[in-house]
Amino acid sequence: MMVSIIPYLKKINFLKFLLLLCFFSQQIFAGEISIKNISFKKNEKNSYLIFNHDINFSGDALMALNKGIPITIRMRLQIKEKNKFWFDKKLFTEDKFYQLRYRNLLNKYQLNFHETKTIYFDSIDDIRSKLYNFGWNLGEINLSDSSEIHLIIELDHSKLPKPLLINLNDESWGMKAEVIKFYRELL
Amino acid sequence: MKYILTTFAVIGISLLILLGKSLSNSDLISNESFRALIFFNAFFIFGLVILIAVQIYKLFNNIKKEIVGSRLTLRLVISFALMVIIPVSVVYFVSFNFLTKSIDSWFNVKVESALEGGLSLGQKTLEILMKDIELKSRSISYSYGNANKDDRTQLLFDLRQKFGISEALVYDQQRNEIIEIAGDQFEAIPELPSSDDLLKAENGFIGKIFEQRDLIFLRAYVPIKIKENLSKRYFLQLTQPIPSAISNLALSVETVFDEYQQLAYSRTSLKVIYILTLTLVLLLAILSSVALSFVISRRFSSPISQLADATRYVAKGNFKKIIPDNGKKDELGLLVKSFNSMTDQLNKATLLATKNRKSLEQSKAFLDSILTNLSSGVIVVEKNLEIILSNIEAYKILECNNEFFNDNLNKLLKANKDFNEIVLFIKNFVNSNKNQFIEKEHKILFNKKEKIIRIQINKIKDLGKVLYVILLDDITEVTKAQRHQAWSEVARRLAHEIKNPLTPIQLSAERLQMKLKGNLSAEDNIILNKSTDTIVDQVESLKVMVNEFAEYARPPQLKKEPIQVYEFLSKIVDLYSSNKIKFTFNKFNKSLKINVDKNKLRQVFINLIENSIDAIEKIKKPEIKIAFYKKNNLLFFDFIDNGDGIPEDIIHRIYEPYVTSKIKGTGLGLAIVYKIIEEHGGDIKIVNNKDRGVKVTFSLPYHEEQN
Repeated sequence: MMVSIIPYLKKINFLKFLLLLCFFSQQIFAGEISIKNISFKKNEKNSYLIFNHDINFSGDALMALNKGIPITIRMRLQIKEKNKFWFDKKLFTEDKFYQLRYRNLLNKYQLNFHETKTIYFDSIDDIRSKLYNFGWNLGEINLSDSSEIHLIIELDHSKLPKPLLINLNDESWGMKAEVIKFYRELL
Repeated sequence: MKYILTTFAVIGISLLILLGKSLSNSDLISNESFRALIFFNAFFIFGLVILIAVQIYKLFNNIKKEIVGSRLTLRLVISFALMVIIPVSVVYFVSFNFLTKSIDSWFNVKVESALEGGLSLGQKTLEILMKDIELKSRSISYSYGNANKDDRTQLLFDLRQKFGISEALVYDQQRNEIIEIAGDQFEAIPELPSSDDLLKAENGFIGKIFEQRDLIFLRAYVPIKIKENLSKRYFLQLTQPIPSAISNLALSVETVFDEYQQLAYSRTSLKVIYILTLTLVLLLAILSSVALSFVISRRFSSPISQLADATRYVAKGNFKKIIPDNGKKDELGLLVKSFNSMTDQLNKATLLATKNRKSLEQSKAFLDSILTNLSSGVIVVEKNLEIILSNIEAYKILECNNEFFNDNLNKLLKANKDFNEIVLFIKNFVNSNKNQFIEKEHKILFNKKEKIIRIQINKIKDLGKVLYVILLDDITEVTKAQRHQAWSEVARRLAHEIKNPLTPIQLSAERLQMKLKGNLSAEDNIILNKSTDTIVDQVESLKVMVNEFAEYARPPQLKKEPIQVYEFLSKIVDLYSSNKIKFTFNKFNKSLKINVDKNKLRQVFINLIENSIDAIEKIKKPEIKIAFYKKNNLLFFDFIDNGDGIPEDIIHRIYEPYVTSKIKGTGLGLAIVYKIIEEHGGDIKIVNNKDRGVKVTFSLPYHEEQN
């Protein structure tokens, strides 16, 4: 079997092989944020954007978190009314932050939501499950079919300690999820 | 360049300050700006590298073009650059090692152990306190459940106070009914446990630790079994703050531990940042100093380069080059001023010298012009006969080439021995060292042609140097003309004085013969006849001679008319044709006409033919060849015989009266021929042939319109 593979292996350029290896290794270890099941709900007064999001920390990010380095996740929701002939009209723009931190003293993971509410968890998975369901209160807002919803959830690099910044070109820190959908798609 | 450098320096310093600020974790500078700063610094360094590369390229280009001062600039640049690079590099490597070791020293094992120990201590304290609150909660739960209904509230209050609990809550399993609440400060809505927590608490106890307002709190959940209603589950929730001293210490230890962990995690990054910053600073320092060294080097080398450049101009003879004086009072400024003063003086001196030289050249040109146009030859010699000045005429007279110009007069003697007499005369005068002036006429035979040269020598002194000014005049023609004039005068007088009495003498002799004829004896009669015949014959001879003299002395009056040359010449030749003499004619242009005095020309032809006949009368095969031909507006006539020729000693003056090789000749024939040809504007040349005989060639002016 090996003998039959060798001729093909010989034809693979070593540099290409190395690049492929790097690509796959990055794919393997890169952290990611995923957004799923986006929907739009409306009650009498307010409108809500409901979605699930999941965070998979990469090895580096998890290690940093376990060393006590706070990791901030920034969520930005922007709703625009698309206009063909002029600038888009911004209907809604809001940023939300939550910070994850491991408390060495308490042996707990601390979730600070919007710097107001603090919740402690025994494990990362608990936090993930806690954050999985998310509802964004949009208040009273009138959306049309051409309203575009732009949701970004990403690791906020600016809140990381400065020495880490020069290493941030590493893909393992490039955790970002982005969804752009029209209102009509979410109904 | 200096403006660019100043701009670069301002930007560089600003960037460095910003980079330093960002390293101190200033909130003003964000992570993006930090990265941008690094990028700008790198870009700035790149700009500096480009600037220096351009400067180096220009410098080497200048060296290649051999621009003055470029090599000096290069040396200064290298020197200045080395002066900066070496110490800065040493500082860099020392700082590098220091920085690396310093960062490594932060993460000491003991420090880490101590921090971990501190943190463990905190954790253990919290565990102990948690155990304590567990016991308290169990005790309160038991007492509360077994107490009478009416006493429970007071009991909870008392126990809370007794155990130092800040908050105590009793609620049912559904958390719908809060039965008891006791505490120092209640929150408006007390935080209730989650279902999971209650589920866990059912098993006996669940404790939680949390931080609130920089204090650590312990919270315990235990089930309560109330004796009246054992089927329903109630829970007791106790919240107790840890003493602030312990809490603060534990939190401080945790903060330090976290920071330490962050630093430890960022250890490599920190090293990279500091080393990167240090490297950026080093590169900025080195590159800035190298760039600055160009400016400084140029400032140093500029006056020296200008001096070297100006010196080059001076070496080429341009004394107008002035170095810009920047008014500096240092040695270089003094040097520039001295140099400018020197070139100014040199310029003035050169202008004066040029003016003098031009004046001298003008004088020389004037002298040359005079000498060239002078009909006399001039040679100025020194005592050793070195020629220091001469004119063309002198060499024409002395029949030599220009090669003797500015040479020694002795060479002339060697080259042309015919002028030996003249050179010796000059030599003797120069060597005699006596006379101030001498004049003499020399008759020289040059190429079998007589030349009469008059020499005047003047001895002069010029700047203490003795010079001899030799004036040469070719007076051959003048002498010839004078001689001709004298002969003409003699001939005229002879003709006048002798011709008049000749006729009476002849008539008297004939009358005497006629009167005495028959009156004398036969013997006397013979004597008479002989004497009178002699008188008459001699008178006739005298008449012929006088006529010839008269002809020679006659004033030049020509009656020119066109004649056909061939016809005219043929008729004359026919007069002398005989079987004895062979006349040979060359090809003639029979229609050729010439404008001449035909009587005079006839006399010329007759004289020349008779001379030839006289010369060939004793020759076995006498022959006379005659030819005429046209050449350059001249009509040439050749008369060639095969006679004995003319003796060499008289041939050069054969045209003079009374010079003849014939026994019976008067010696006036060729003199008259010469005179007639000269009157017609022609020329004559008589030479002996190589083998034998004489060739007479004369030319007359010829114009096409004559035909």
